[in-house]
Amino acid sequence: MKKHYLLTLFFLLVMCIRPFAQEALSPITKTIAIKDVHIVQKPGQIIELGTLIINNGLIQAVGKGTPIPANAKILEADSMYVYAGFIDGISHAGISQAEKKEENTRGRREKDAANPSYEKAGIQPQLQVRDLLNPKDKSIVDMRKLGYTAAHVVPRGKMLPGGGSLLLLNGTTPDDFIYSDNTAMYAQLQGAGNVYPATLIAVMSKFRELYAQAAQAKTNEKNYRLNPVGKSRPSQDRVLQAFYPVIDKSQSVFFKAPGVKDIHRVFTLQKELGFPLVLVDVKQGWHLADKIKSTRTPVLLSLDLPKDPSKKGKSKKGKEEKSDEEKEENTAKKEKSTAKKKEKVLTPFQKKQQAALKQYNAQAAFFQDKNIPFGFTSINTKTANIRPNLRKMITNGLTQETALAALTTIPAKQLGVSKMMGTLEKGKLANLVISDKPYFEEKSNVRFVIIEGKVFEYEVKKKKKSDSSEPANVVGTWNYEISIPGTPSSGVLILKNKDGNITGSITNDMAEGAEDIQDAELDGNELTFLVPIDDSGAAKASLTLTIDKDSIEGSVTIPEMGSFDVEGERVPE
Amino acid sequence: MKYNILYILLFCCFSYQGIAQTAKANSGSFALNNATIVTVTKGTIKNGSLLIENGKITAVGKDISIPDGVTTIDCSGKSIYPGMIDSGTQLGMAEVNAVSLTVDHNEVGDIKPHMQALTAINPNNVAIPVTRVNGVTTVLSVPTGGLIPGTAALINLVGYTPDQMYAGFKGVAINFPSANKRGRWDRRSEEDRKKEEEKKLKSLNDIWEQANLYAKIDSASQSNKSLRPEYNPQMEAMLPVVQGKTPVLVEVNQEKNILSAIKWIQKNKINAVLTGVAEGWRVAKEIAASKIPVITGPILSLPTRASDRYDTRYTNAGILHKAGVKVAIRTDDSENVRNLPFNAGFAAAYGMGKEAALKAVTINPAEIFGVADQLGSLEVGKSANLIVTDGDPFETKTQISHLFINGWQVAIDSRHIQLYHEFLDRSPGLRK
Amino acid sequence: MKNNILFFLCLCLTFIGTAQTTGSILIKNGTVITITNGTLTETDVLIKDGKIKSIGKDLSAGEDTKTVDATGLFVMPGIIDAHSHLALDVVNEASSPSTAEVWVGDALNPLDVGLYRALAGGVTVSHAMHGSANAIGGQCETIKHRYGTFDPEELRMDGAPRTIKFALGENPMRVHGEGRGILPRTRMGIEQVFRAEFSKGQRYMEAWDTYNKTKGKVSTATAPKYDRRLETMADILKGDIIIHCHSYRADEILMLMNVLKDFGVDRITYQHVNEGFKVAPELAEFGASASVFADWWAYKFEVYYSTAYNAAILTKNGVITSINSDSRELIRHLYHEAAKTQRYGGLSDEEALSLITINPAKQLGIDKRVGSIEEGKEGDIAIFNAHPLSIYAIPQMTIVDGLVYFDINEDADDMRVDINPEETEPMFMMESNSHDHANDACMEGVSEQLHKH
Repeated sequence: MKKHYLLTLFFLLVMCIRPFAQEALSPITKTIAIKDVHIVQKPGQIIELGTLIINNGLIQAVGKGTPIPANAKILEADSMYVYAGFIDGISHAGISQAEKKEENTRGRREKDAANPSYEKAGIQPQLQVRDLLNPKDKSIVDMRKLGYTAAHVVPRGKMLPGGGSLLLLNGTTPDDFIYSDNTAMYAQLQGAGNVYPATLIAVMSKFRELYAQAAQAKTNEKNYRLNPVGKSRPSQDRVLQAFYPVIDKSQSVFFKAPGVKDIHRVFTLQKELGFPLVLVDVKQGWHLADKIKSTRTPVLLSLDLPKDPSKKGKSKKGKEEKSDEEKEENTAKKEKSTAKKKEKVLTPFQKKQQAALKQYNAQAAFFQDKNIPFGFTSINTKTANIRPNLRKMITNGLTQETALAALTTIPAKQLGVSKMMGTLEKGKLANLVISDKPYFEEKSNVRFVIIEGKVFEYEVKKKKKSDSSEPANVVGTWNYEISIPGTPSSGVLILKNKDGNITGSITNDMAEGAEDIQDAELDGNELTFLVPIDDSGAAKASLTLTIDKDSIEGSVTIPEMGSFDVEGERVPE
Repeated sequence: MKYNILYILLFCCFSYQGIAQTAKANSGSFALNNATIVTVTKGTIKNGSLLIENGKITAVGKDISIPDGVTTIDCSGKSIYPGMIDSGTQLGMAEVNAVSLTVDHNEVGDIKPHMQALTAINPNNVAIPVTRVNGVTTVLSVPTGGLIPGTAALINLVGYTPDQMYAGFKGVAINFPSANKRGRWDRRSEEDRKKEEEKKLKSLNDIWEQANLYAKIDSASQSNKSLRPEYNPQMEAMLPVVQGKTPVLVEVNQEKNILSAIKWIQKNKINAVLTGVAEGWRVAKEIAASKIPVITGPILSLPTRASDRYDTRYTNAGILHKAGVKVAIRTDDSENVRNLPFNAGFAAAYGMGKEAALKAVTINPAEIFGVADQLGSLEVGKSANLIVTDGDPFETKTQISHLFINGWQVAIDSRHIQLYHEFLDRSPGLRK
Repeated sequence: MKNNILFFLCLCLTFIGTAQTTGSILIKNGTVITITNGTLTETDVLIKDGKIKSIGKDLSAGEDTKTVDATGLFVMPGIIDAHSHLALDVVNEASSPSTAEVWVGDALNPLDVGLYRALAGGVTVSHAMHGSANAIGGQCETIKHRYGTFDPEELRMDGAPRTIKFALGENPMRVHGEGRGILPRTRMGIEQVFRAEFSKGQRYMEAWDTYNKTKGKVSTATAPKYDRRLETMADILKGDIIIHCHSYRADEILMLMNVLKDFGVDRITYQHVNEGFKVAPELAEFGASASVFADWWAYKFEVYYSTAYNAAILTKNGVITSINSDSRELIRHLYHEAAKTQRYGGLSDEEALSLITINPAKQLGIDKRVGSIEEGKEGDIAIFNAHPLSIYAIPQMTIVDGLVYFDINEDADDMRVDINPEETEPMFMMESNSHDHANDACMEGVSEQLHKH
């Protein structure tokens, strides 16, 4: 029965969150002032202790000693760092992953494999982001939290997933998000797997065929409009029609080309057909840097970097949100002691691998040194890896200015929106990111993101991790609070430690009785455990708490509800 | 060129007696005269004679007396070699590998030591004559699939019943557990593969424990029938193995697995032979120290790793040999076991040397399989398994003119040769 | 710091790899097997800027020309493999019984270490083919083994004629008939795929001809819808593309010749063609050539009635014959595969070596450029320490367009160029010989495609 109460508790929580979250107060003023901040107006141009005024979603003034209007709400950002909001060159933000259907297609007879529908074939260039956007998709929140204010979003899919739209990362309905439509044709060299075009070679052929057929259809259409008499009605194939702006060169094909071979292949198509091209998600671009430069092909480098296999982190369940870097750091610490004992001798194989790794990490620096402008794309990059990877690129020679340009001015230019985005200048959209330290520093936190004047504030989670790997003392009785908006709850956590085995029980003021904790593990000062929350015991809340002497803080994750902060203190004995 | 035409003509006369069937094998007494006799174990005799009687070699030497009534074969300009032994094949157990109902080497299940290769040998398999005319007279046929695929059998490539063909060795084959990918199509994650490896290793240890217990009870039951264990075909088949009577064939290829297999073999005090051993060159010293013999091949195969030197599989046998390992060579094939001499030739060229390579397909396998008193060299008292060639048996262009297996003179004939004769100059040709 | 140096070195290597495409080299005092003009002892071969400039005694070149002492060595033309799937990221587009429009040249993978391994077997040119899943497969690409480049374009043998893969028998029957329940499930059905596609191609050509005649004159003239598959069929009908047809049985070989006669197509090389020996007179009369395995047989039912004497019978019946690999492994010792024709049928040295040099060159339409050591031909050379038909021969050096791509005495063990930065340990995988399996290498990727979600 006890469990039942806990279950009730968590249901109550669910019910409480939604109304409170929506009942935010409407703002009194549309004027915001940010003062005494370091304003990075554009890459390399900084106003120290400057002021920035936002009015009605636009930047009204930037400068030193700019007067603050009386109606302005002053943002508490003194001595922080202000940048133009980041623009994701190509993104899937807001496009939910297609649910993987549990269909067993193994050995299934695809009779129509030779002539599949456009949908099965992955050929849908006519699709619009507007029709596919899920405003509640977590990726929007995650990207915004990193400082992204705009994203050039394209649908997910295979060969031709759809068109691109430039979005501002704020809104409730899909239409709210749209800054501009028909920004791109997105293309990938990806076959449909079991139907035509199943593989790369058919994709290459199909692209050429569609292109030529579209040119034909366009001409036929034009001739028909001039004089239809005696002529067959021209094709109204939407797929072909989607190519018209590309053929007119009024729209670019944003072609995904991560590897060196992909880039060559995409260039081959471009050379044959002559469409305007943007290379997307480039990971091995150094091999073709000269060609990219001489053809002035716009390029979006991938924010994804390979994992260093020599720093393979152990993957613990329930911690998947950690970035690869954190995992790598964890192992690095453990290896430190052994490393001191003997210098690791790399095998020739490892040397080659490390050199290759270096090339990937230094790609952005390589482009920078070759004076090739580039933007970044988050596509196929774990959000949690974006900032650590940027730092890795900087360690490998990328300057902060170039990194910032790749996140702001370059994508703005590629998308033709330099007038309104990419720098902090009067009249531009009030898209900003504010961090407490310079953005690219390791310990810097994003504190505010402003999109078209709408402010998103982020608390800094204090992260105190003791350096010693000695397990913290957890034994005792702890009072804790869960901060759920509108419905904070509290309770008591009792922990015991028997030869390293952590056991204990937990109560909550909204449920009767106590529940035993399960699978408790203590790693240094980090305690993780599970609490069953339904009768079957199948659903479990998982808690991760960091212990610092007599205080605990961390989070609880409840299945299908989300994560909430937890704080608490030890009850003195 | 002239020589070739002459040869073909001779050839035609000799074997054009029957189109549809292979000529019958002859038995009797034969004297092979004026030959270079490469005995393998006792040096090479120039201009010598070799006498075959009652299926055995009864004399080898320069001045041996030839009894009356013996069929004499003049071998001037020719050489005699022992018949070659392929130490790992599926010959006789599959007719057409893509047609599953003609494939008899891969039984259902994981642990099946009781599956007997000898049972499934088809003496009329069309690949058998194709193989022996290339000088391969004896092969080990090994079941495939699972942790313990079955019991392999050594067979001579002549006879109409498996028992007639049986050459005196049977051994249980084990696929030593590994976490390697089985091929490009293997989509198991690294973790899954490791888990499966551990599971299989545990399973293998359990089998050993069980088999030892079974053997103990079985021997106790010799004097007290009431102790007799339940009938267990797997354990029955494992008896000779745990008793150490016959070597176990432990298939293992990767460096790390080879080392664990050696440890496992030593820990359990197993009489074993390592087979496959593709990465043996990486741990040749360790293998040599273990004194476990190795059956390796195919030599004509790709390196195991993309980062390897291109010729690691060619040089593997030579490196092992030089480290002091007793090496035998196999093709691991079914229809193209005839390529054994070429596999040995590549091993020879890539560091093993001709002499050691010849041993690796003759006396070494005979010793490994415990049949060196019968096979593997040209010595008095041994079975007459031998070939007469016009040159080095590994050289690609070399022709074999006479073939003796178990004392039977076997015709140089096979379906391939028959088709050649029928179609070289087809009749009718283009005319209707 | 060390990493940086390595990084720099890598960059340099990359740069060198892509910088030159032809070179000059003088090979001194070797036994030169010209193929077309006998074997010359103690002879020099001078390659200048990628082309064979002269063959003779005591040749000299400028001081900056690399010189190789080939005393005691055997110098032969670079080996040519008329059937390979090396350096391809995609082999089969198995989704339709005809995929004439696809082209494996779009999926070239210059980073395939298999190229280096082929070079280490003296092979300088290979015919990178589409697979055999479809009756009409894709177009193929003749490549030169210029290993070390990252640019797929640099592999292409510019100017080599276009070729296309056809396939008969079990493979297309299994993929489409058995796999999907559509035509072709029998050899009857396969014939009809060809007849249908060729007929459609003819009509397509006619429609374009009509359009081109009326265009500009008749206001309502509208172009036929562009169709790459039929464009390709039309190009075959025009004789612009050489057919290379995967085939085994005598009956199906004859069937395709009948179809081709009806459509007036005459350029064809039969691939594998295990029962070619049975219809050698017909092949010779048609002018078809044959590219065969040295000894593969019995791995599937349609090759059960094969003979290793196939190449010899075909050769002696006047069919231009080559020996191919269709395998990442066999391609490394084609010289040995060719030698098997001496055991099985007693071909002469010259006949045997023609099977892997001038004959495959003829089948690919590149015999004016490669396949023999002749002045004016391209500088593709393989050097051996013994006669290449000997089992003991070891390739020593392989030269493409006058540049050394394999040198047994110089090369590092690990010759990969594209390194996976995430790979911890070299992945171990037994690459079995493909004839151990139900599928031949021609079916690469098919089962994955059929079974993939």
